[in-house]
Amino acid sequence: MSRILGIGIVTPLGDDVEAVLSAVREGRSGLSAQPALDGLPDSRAGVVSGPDLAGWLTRKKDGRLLARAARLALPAAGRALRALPPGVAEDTAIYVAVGREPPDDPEAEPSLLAMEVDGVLNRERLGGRGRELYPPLLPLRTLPNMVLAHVSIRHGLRGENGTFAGAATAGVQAIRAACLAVDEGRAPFALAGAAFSGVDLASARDRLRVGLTAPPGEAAVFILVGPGEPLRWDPRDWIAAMGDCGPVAGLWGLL
Amino acid sequence: MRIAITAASVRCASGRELVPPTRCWASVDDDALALGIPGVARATVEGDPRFPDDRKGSLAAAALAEIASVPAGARVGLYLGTGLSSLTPAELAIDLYPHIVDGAFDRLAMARDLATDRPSPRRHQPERVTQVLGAALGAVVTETSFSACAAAAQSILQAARAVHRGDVDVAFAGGHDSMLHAIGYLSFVVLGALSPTRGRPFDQQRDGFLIGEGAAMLRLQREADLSSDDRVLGWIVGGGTSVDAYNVTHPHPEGYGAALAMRRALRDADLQPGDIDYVNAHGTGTPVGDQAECLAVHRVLGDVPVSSFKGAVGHTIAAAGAVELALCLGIFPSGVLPGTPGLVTLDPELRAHVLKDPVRAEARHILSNSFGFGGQNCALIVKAP
Repeated sequence: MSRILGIGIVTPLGDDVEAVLSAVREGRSGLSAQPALDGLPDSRAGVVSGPDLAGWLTRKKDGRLLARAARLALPAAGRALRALPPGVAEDTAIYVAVGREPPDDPEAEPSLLAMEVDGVLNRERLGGRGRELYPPLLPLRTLPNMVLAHVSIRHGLRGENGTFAGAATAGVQAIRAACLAVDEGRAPFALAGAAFSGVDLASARDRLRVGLTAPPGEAAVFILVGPGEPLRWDPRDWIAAMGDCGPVAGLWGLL
Repeated sequence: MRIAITAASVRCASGRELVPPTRCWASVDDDALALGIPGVARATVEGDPRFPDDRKGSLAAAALAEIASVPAGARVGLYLGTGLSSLTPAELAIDLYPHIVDGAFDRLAMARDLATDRPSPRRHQPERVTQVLGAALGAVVTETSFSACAAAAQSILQAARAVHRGDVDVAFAGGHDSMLHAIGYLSFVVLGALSPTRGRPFDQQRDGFLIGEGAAMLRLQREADLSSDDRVLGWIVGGGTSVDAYNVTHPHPEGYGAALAMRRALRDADLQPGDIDYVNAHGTGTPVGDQAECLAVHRVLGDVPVSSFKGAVGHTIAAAGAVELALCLGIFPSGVLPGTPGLVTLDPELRAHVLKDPVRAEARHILSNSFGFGGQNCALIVKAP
């Protein structure tokens, strides 16, 4: 059976496990009003301060390739991996859960606006100004598996892997897949986690439209598992403190 | 591992037959033409009312409906690989363009527009198709892989392991994707990934891929659970995954990660390199990708015959691993190894034994590769029935 060897978190209440645990027990809220959500029935959200990526980027310019979820994931995964013994990254598995598709980046707006004529996308503009203005890095930022890609590149993880999509269950699926990789002998260690950011107008609006009224949030939680005692976890409802952090919610119980 | 494929279905540009394609199925699309892309590989499918404005959902539903019989009392799992559909022209027209004021999006007006009859909430729930189809099947497990172009292959491997482990008795596994719309094309065009001419994997003039769409599903069962009525189309005997951990856009130039996935698949299947009779390559037709894959195949498997279907049915993105594995099932009864549609002049720099045209030969074990942007790799091995 797998045992948890390392953990890293990035949350609206901080990135220290003990401090975050205490804050939640004390009923402290990580929610705050967000100008980006003005006009919605509730403009509060659980937003992470930072994160500080110093030390987590291989090259400073790589920051341009990171969507918000990947920015949260890099430090969280890095802290969990501090417990990884040297020389085993090649076979270390990595399973990551992500939320719904990343929001459409505001950087695309000039292109989208340039393609509009009479309220619809115009084909000539698509092939002209729209194409010229479309940000070339946008598809790379918004591909769903980029969280896994950036973490694996930063830490040299080349083991078996997967990216799961979905709500809270996806985070648990990532943990289960990681534990099975270790238990069934395909990987000596496995990194599992989830990263999510829903604090943008498009995402917040979409959530309300499908009936999700809890304030949105953002966070990343990663654990490193290896051979050992049975993995036990007891998830709790932290949404009141953190906001709904999608697949990350399935991992709060690990704390 | 020895998991039976007892049913399979496919929806792609070449149709619904489980046979390797022999000619290019590209057709003209005006939005693609506007971006300098001469053709796309479009599947035929009727819209499913459960997935309005979601073509990839309709593709998945159609493929699953063909094979969705479940033995009484069986615990069922549904494992689907899906893709990033990106913003669509319909969403722009319905949800964004009505809020333009003085040449910019009025974000306050957008925030107050919470009408529920919009396509975007569905787009932002990638697991929704799996959940809806899983509920209809009575599935006790649903899982959605989001691993880019390796998603469907990874779903099939996850499903096979779940059946082998006993998590479920019957698994439906596959993938679905469609990015055949203006913004989908644009997303690939700005990456320089689409061919401005035509899809021609392994050709010395190759210049990108032909974009396609599709879905495919497999029904997986344990050998011990098979009835005399079950017809086995093939056996999944192993699989392996890896990450390049190299670059988010480019594969490792020597195919290091791809080779790792193939080696892990061989180990998982308890096979030797010489046991593989044919490799269905990821083979997109990009200059760097084909070269890296050929190096990896040659290094791991030697002079094994290799070909690619993507010049015929296009790159079906997240569905590719399932679509191409389903098409490979037709190789076993035919006694013919497929060629590479679109290939005219083989690139002499490629080291692998690429098949330009079909050759008559039996295949006992087939290895199918799927590699994704971001460096996620998956290799599956299927054995003849």
